[in-house]
Amino acid sequence: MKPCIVGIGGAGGSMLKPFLQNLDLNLMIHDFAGNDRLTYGDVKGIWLESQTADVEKQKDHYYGNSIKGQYPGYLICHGGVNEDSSTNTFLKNKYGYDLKAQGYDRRAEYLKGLFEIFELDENLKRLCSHEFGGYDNPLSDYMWKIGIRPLTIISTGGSTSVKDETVSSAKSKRSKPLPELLRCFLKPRNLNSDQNTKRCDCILFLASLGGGTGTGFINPISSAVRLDEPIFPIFALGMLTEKGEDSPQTSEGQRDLAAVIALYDLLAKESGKGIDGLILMDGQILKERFGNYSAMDGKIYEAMKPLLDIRNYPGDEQQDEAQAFRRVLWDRDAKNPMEQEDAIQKRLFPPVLIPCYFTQPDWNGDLKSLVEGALGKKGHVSSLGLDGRLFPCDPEKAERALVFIRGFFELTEIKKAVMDRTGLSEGKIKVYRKLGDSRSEDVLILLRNPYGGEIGAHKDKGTLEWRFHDIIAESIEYIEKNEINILSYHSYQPLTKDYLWKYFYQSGGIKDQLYKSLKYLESGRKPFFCRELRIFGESAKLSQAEEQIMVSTNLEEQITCISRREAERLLMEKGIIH
Amino acid sequence: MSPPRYEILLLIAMLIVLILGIISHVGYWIRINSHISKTAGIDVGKQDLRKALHMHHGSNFNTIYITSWSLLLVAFIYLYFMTPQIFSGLNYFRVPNIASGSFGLAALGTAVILIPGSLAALFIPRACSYYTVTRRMKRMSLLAPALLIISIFCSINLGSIYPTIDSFYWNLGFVTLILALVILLAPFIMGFAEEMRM
Repeated sequence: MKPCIVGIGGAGGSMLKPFLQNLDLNLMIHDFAGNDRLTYGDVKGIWLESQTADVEKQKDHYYGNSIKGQYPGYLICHGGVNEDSSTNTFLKNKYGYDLKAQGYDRRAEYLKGLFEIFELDENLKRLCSHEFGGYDNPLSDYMWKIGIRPLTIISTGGSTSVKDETVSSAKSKRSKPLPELLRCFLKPRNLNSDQNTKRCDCILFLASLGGGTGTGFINPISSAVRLDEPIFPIFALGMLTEKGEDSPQTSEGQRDLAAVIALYDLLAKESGKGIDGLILMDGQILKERFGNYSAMDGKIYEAMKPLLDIRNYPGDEQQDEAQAFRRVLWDRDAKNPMEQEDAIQKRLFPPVLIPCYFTQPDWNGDLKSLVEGALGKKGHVSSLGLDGRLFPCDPEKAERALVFIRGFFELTEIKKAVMDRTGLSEGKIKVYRKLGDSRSEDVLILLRNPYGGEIGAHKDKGTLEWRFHDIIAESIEYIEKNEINILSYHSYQPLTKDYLWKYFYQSGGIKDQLYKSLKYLESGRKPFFCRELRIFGESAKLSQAEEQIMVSTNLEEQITCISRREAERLLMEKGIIH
Repeated sequence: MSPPRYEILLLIAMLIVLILGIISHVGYWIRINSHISKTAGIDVGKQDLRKALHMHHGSNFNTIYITSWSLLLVAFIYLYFMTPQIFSGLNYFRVPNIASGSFGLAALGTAVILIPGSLAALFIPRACSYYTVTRRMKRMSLLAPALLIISIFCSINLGSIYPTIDSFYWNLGFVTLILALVILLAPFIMGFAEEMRM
């Protein structure tokens, strides 16, 4: 798996930095590698930002302008829109939206609305298509086709008709690539490789949830990519912002609302319409453990290394294919890949993946301590920040566990250690063994949907239900108390205000849906976001039958959970387990 | 029987360092193979193991590494085989046609780079690709060509002033040479040491 990592917004850009750090020597006078920089797992990436001022005030000038062929590069989201754009003028006059807005002030609904208008307004579509040479949306198409797509294998496969105005092919003029003769000499294994092997086979978006640009863009951009590429693996890593007021004095409620809207839209999009999985981290836990943002970014990178490591264990099945990983994420006990693809096409919602990471010196060799370091000790639901769980959750509620481990361990022992801790059956644990670096051994365990099945779990500090219940309740409170603030933002036209009011306050709107989500969380129902909502246009509806299926599945899970806990309690009473 | 020359003793010391590097490499393979055989659950062939362990270290590092190994051979030949001081029967001055030419030294250096140097360039970076080379170690490797250039200059000076002998230049040439060798072997030695801790 070789992802194209896309950092969106200020936090996304900072999180992306360590992933793109050059592991090769910096010779100062000449770069023999040209733009082909050496990164961990051979990943590539780009930073998408809406604030021109933010990219200009970078102290370290880490990112160059990708339009000028510099790498690693940034791309201003509205860089393709001119000041006198007729599309933008139309948009401003009719809706009050501005394509060239500098940042989005923690409002996920701003970009959500902006993207929906381009899907619905026929006049705007025509205008846009005429002005931007066939583009349906001057923001998402620009970011996808100019920024992200050239870094992926799609750009060499010719799956779309859009010409590659590539960023990567515009090789840096600062440094010449290594002469071909010397390249062959240095890398005999790569003699037959083409550009495809150097490009990415999936996308991983990085963004904070509760910020501005990242929170707003992550959903529209992933949907835009999905429209173009129906089965290309797309993952997202979202970091929920920490509790309390942040540095630009934005209230927790406002940030939580932005995060909840983004999460809602990411998780309530059916398979084939959005992302394939959302890796969630909690900024609160990371901040308590690591102190400052720079250290947090470094730890996020460290935690993702077992996933990115391309040195697979010899003899293990082929693991480094993103499509196979995508199928595993959607896995619903299908017997073969065909069945699995069918299952993905059915009405399923993308899974939440909670990363649990732990590292120890390699001479330790104790698998139990490694797994317990990542997942916490049995019975420790609320040990917030004391173990490797990077988002609050109860590992015993997970549907699946994907284990990425670096070190020398037997497959059966790994499975046994994870089974002991999570209670999952062997078939629901997928292990990816990597060779690592001989200095330490580490494990990243992605727990799929570790929530649900228990009434009242939202009251237990340290559960996923508790954290989501908290941010959803804060969001509802913010919606109820800030109607003017929400609807009177910038220069919204009356038409937009009307739609926004309906989206937020009308019966069946987001506030109602969030109240429902709270109830689902309280009753242990899974999933708790399940009806796609739109500001402009018609929202998705769940049929009675689908509602019924969800309730019955939920009942089964509740019974299983209660039975397991009861059995555990009896065994503990008898001293069989501790 | 007279005791071996001081320079010969140092040559033996340098060979010991080189052998240590080779032993580390062999030991690393044996250890890794043993760990993987125990845990993989299947027999792992050498090719599979090589493929699994292989990692890129970057074009810049590879360029410096190959250059350094080539310079190491040149520095060694210049230090030991330029003047008749150490090996009176086998040295550069025994080929007066080349030694008295304007580009004699360059010809000797080129010959060393082309024959044993190209072999080293083919095999050593590939062997190194099975090890983790940290960024710090990569930065350290930048010292190697600098040290080797110092060593080569010392040897050239010794060749120029011969038959006068300046032990300071010889010692400086040797110290820089052996330091560069240790730096170049560091990935192998460190890799083996890490494996031994397990």
